[in-house]
Amino acid sequence: MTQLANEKYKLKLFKNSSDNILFWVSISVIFGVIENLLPRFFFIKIGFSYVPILLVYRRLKNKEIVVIFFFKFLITNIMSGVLFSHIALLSFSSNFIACCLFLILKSEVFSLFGVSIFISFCSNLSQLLVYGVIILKQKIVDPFIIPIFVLSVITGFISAFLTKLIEKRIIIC
Amino acid sequence: MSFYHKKHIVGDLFLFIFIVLIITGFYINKTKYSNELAVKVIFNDIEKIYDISKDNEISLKDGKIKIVIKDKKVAIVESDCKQQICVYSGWISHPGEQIICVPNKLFISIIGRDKFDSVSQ
Repeated sequence: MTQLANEKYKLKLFKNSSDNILFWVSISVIFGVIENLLPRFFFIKIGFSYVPILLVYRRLKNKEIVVIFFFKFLITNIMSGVLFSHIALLSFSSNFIACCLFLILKSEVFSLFGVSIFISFCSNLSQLLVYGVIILKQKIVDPFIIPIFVLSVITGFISAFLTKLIEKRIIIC
Repeated sequence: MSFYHKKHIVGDLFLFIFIVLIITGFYINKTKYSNELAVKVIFNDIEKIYDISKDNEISLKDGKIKIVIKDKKVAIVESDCKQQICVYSGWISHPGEQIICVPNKLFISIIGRDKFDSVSQ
């Protein structure tokens, strides 16, 4: 990372795929760990670990995004000690949906805010579906779908806003 | 650098419409199956399923336990158990809600979304 004028930094992506994966997985996990340390408002998780991925997903290869998501899921669940529990299943569903959507929504047609809110909504919905179908064995989505939409708009907006703030300071090339 | 470019409006509108379609899909599904809730009553290891939309009064244990189904809700209104916890549980109406009377080995729950005729045993 090199410092430019106007307090801006220039961050060059690695040429080697595995270096890129290692770097962005670690950044993503750090963001996730910081989020876990912060006090939560009720049960709401903003999803800070998606911020680094939002920052670079358009510049990374599809294969790199998939591997980053896999390791992010693995490391965060090992670190929180829930890898072989139901929570890991919820985490896997949301990571899987988010990964697929990041691959699909790579086009410049969509804004960061739109992508972030949409991914937030879909990953929350997938968690609720998995929780209902596999854990409770009931369909529980209907009463929660509107609150989930509202929460997704808030959390998705915050994630995208943070990404934009970082983008203002760091130029990734 | 601005936070939002006008060129993204079409793409974001598409995503928003997609979200609205998902929500609408769930609501249509809910309306379609909303009348298919049922009351499952397990007493003495015998399971009975009642239609929640039909008002009904069920007497068990020679009338010592009285279960009432009314306005798509169900409650135990009378029971001979000591602590009356099942009676104090009140009315239940949503799928997954349960009333359990441990002394009488009675279990009532609302089950949903499975197709049934009327009463089965």
